[in-house]
Amino acid sequence: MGLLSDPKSRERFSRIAAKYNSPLCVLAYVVGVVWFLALAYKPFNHRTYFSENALLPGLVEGKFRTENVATRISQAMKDIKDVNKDGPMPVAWIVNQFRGLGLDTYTQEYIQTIPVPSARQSEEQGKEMFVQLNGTNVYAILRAPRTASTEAIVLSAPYKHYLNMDHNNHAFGLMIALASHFRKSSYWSKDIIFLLVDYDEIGMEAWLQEYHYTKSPLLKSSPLHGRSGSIQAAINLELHSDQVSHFNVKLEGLNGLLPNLDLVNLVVQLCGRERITVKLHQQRDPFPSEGWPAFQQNLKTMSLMMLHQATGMPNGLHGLFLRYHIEAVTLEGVLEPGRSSTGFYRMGRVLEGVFRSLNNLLERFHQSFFFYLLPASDRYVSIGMYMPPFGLILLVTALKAIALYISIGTPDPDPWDGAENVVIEHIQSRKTGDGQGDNTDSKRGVTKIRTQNYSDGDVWSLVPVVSCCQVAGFIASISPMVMTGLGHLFGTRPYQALITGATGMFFASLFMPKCITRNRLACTVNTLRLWKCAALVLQAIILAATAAANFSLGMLLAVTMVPVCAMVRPGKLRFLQAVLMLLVSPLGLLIIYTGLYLLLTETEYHGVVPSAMHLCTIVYYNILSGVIHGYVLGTWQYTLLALAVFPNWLFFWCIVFKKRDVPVVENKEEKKTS
Amino acid sequence: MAAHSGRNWAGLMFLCLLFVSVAASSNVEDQVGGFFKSGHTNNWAVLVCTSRFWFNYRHIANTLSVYRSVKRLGIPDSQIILMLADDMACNPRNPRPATVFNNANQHINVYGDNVEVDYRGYEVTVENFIRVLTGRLPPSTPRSKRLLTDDRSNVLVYMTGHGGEGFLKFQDAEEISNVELADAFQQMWQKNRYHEILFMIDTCQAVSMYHKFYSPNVIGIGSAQVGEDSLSHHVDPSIGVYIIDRYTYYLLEFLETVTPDSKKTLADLFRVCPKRVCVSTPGVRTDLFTRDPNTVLITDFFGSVRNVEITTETITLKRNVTAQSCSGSSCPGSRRGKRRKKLAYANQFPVEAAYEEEVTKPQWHFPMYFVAALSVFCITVVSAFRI
Repeated sequence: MGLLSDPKSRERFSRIAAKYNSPLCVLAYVVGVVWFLALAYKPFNHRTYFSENALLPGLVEGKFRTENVATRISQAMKDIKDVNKDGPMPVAWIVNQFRGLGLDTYTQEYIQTIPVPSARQSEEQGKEMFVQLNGTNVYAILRAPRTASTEAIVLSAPYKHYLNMDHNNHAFGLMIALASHFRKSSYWSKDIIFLLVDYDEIGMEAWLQEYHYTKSPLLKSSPLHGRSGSIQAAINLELHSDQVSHFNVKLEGLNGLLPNLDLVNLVVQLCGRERITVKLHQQRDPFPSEGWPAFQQNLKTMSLMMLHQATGMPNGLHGLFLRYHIEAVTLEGVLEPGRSSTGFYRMGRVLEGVFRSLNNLLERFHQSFFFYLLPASDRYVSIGMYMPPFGLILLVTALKAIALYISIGTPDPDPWDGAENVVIEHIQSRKTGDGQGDNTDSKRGVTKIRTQNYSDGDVWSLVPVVSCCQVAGFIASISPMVMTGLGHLFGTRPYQALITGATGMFFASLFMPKCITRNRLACTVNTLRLWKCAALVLQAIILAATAAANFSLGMLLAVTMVPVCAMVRPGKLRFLQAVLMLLVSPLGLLIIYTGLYLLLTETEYHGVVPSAMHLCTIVYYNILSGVIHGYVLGTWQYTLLALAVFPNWLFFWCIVFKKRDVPVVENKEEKKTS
Repeated sequence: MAAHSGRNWAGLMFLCLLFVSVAASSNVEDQVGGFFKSGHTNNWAVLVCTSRFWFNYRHIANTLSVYRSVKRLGIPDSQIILMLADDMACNPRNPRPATVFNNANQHINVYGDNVEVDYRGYEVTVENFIRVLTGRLPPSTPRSKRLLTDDRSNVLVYMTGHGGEGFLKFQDAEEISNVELADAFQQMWQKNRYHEILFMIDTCQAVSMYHKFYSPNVIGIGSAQVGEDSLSHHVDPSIGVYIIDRYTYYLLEFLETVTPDSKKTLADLFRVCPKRVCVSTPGVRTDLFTRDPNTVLITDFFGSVRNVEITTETITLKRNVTAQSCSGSSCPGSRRGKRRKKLAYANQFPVEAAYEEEVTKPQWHFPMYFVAALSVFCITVVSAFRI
């Protein structure tokens, strides 16, 4: 007999769930959070290992000797850039470099429309009112000499780092050096595609879309004239200088996708072999790997990874490959002053080793984990380890919902204990003691209650409130684009209009409880219990589904929203509850987590006001990029927040502000009188 | 020898009449007989690599190395069944195309000249392996892919691949269990398909593969005990793979010292690759074997030393009179007037044979159930008319 199908044990279970509800909830939450944080501690996580036999990492000796080519090419590219600063990519020159090596070289042109009205162009051209970016990708294919071109691996590099407008000429130099070295070898079983991308992510997206014959209405590109087979893996290269002190390995991709752990291991292992330090999110692996400082360091690395992953925005070009199930990482070569550094020779050897190993692959990466968190470059927390604590945190929601569901229909106000009882009695005493004062109000309430079955929660009362919240969510999801369109008419600057659209609905909907109250939806205690129960169930579903797709987002939402949402109840301490609810609103969470991110990464502290300003700017850009990436790259974080998390939050918000109509008064009064 | 004397056997047998002087006849007989006491007349080898993929390069190298050794010691290609599950020489990842080396020094290209691979790639299956051993191959199978052994054949079976306790993995899809293997050997025994078998296996937990053997005259040698892994010997950094397994590496080192006339015995073979170099512990099983391993030459299995049977009796060979004198109806075999069929070479292609068969068959052929159904139908119709 199952726990819930056996009436006897069900009764016992429900009694326990109801009786010890609050302690159980607190216990589950605390244990869940502590357990999760403890996973960053070395004894609780595992050392990474290779699952894929075929990789044979580092067995082969490196033969890369063409580092002088890298130096020459990167210098030449720098000279071109110095002459023509901020000019377009020197396509012809790049093509010549590849052709000089005898590779099949092709270019691809594309036009990306960003659905934001451009301030400048709109007056001149009637139709082309949107911002348009056009660029050219250059790619060269090294054909595997002894196989048909059925498989390929990609070495890509952005032409510029558009975020900081830094030129990536060193990466191109190294790419050409590797190409000239690879060209001489006969052992390739996969084609190697060298890809230089214009305009970071957009260019990459254009190339990938065209390669896989997928189309986007906003992105027009010329067809690819040269193709290879299915891409097995990709390495993206960003070098800030010709000497690097460490490689920063970037993993997080679009919508929180991660590359297979085997690929990460491979890169880490080969860097270790060439004695190049590997960092994750610029965080060094702690040296005495155990102890309190090591734990702090590990926790910091893991939190940074989660914060990055939760945004759903790729932190490098590799992130776009992941959508096509191509495992990819970005190697960012960083020169930290004061550290020993290595040049093109060692970097080339690392990449050669990585490519030799990838060349050995027989199948796509599939052996190792796709869902993991890394507290250090050689330690991992797998999905099997981080899901139980997450489940415990969600258990709070479930327990609360069960307790409320059991309590529906009982006059016993037990689950709404403490403050709730006070509220109920308070209303009663006001009614009975005051007599005349609230007479009209209460009478009206009573008469209304009489017309409905108040012994159970009124299920139909959920319909208006849930649909109102959902409509609000829908409006929030489309409002940025609507507002930019409208703002364009009124001459507002597009990004400001966009932000207004994104946040405006949020602020507007704060007044929703008022509207609902005015609509006179009658609410008994039981109805409110049902409301909250439904809200909690919805929340659990949303969080669980989110965590399955993007664990970090789900976890970060759960850790903050669950306790607050489990505590809120209509009535007392309304102001405090409102403050808490605002903190865990989507916008509040964005601010909190951006603040946390800045706290973890920024070393300098400039004072309260500048920091707050800085924070606001970052939040502003985060919203902006969240919305725009949703349209351009297809991230769904903004949509998810607008369509699922925000309506759910709004539901709770309404419950907080819901004025309870007179509860089960008659029984009590009869009892009192009798 | 005694066991077989009564049997009516066929196959390769070289009969040599020795003329010995009357005075020293018995003494020399003993001396000469001492060389030829094994009782086999032909040698066969079945060499199997069961794993594919580039990272299993070493298994191909293992098998090819043993192939090279047995060939050097005299077993011809026609008597070697070589099964290789993958083609490393032509693998595009191979930096030295068309070669397979068994040592990082790259002295010996074991894929050198004249390697005759009988079963390759996906042909290497458990079914094919068992069929080869037991001789149950489809009629279309060419002779080079058959194990045409008889009861005077010494067979070397060498296997390598990835194994576990009681099984050896074939390709990535299937595995052979030790029980199946033991049964296959028993079938060989019952079908008079071997005289003695040396079974050698280099895989993890290798000895588990011969634990279930129950057929006589089988020696089992395994590279690792149950619970032990059989390890690779070294990496060739220029090729980028583990190039050979430890047991086979030392086996080859030993076999390189063996010549067709060498007097090394099985006992020397058992001492190959002690635990200190092998890391795993090789195991031997001799309880099914009747002879003393100390007196059995290595070349009884790894070579093809032709055996000589001595007889002191004079055998008078009769003239084969039937072939000449018999003709037409006077032959005793064609007493009923049957014409003798004209002799011809067997057809090379089974398709043709099948075609001929089809032509000679009656054109109309009614299956039983059709006839039955028709008769039932007829009866029904007739009875219906009567009514």
